Amino acid sequence: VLGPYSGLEYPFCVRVMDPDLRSYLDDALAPLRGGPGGQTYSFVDHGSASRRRYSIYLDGLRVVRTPAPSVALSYLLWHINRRAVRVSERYLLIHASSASRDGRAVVLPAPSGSGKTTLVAALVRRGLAYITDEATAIDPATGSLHPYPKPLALGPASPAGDLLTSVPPGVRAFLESERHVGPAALGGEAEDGAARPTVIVSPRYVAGAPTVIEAISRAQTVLLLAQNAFNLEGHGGEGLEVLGRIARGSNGYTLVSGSLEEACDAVVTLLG
Amino acid sequence: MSQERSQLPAARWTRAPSVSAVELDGETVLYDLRGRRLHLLNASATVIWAALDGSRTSDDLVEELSEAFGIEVETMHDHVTWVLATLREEGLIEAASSPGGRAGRGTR
Repeated sequence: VLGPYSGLEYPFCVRVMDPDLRSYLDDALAPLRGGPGGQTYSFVDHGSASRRRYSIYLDGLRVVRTPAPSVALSYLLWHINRRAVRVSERYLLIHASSASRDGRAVVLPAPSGSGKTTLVAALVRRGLAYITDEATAIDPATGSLHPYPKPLALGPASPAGDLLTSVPPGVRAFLESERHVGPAALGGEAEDGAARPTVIVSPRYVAGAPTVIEAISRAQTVLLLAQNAFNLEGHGGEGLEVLGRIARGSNGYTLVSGSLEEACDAVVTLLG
Repeated sequence: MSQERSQLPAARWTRAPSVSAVELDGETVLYDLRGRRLHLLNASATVIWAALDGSRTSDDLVEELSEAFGIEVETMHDHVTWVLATLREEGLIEAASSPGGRAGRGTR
């Protein structure tokens, strides 16, 4: 059994039979290691004779069964992330990737498909510490970011795939639909402490578009963060105040780009 | 501006208790916890929002703001009426309860 792990406030373990996949997940989940242990996921291979060969169980109850190993792995990690986001009460969660340098963080809030995971992967490759690719967790008491370094989920078409170090042959079948990687696979590492949000950038990938970055007002920055919050209703007016404090201490931008390299340059420059 | 919006009751207006607000550099973000909706007020709407403490009617606001900003009353009236009507339509403000009970009467 791998773990225990802690995704935000969600404790879990993972049981995997396949030795190659176990080794791979051990690396990908390494930044989440720690905590008291909790629910146990099991990744089960029913064998080649079974039409729907792969199942994921949670504490003995099957949550999905599929013929595709990559779908099973994606579902497992999606389920863990969903639970982590749902059970978190302490943190104000923003749908955003983020990375840091010397304790100063760039937050990249955006809807799915905007390229925030690809961009944060490139930033990690540039030496920034990885915080998360999905749910940026703000501690309301301090306004700082709590790391949630889940495996990055890179789509098959993501140009960040080129940044990866080699994928072991034994797990390629598990990574056909998405490549789930820890920051180490990008040659980087995870942030292990609190980081202060300093730059807020809403990224949008548009094929062939020139790189254009525009400053937005502090109120627009609050709106951007609030619109991408997972659980603002749970934090209410205090949550809005927290976002206001963050906006007062940071600079906000929108970024449209068709070039990962240029987008990465722009963000690194803004972070200083 | 719709006809309905131009007929704003002559209430003393106040911010709805379900609405949280944060003001930054002259703009305001509103979060309506009841409807879970977000709104961004520009600079002029922020000035009006800040004055909605339940002590002023729309006519009071027009008079104060036209004087403060040197804008003619008719122009300010149209703007204040439109902003208040929009805020009211979104459920962000409400008539302040007062013994005089002025809410519901026409403004002009």
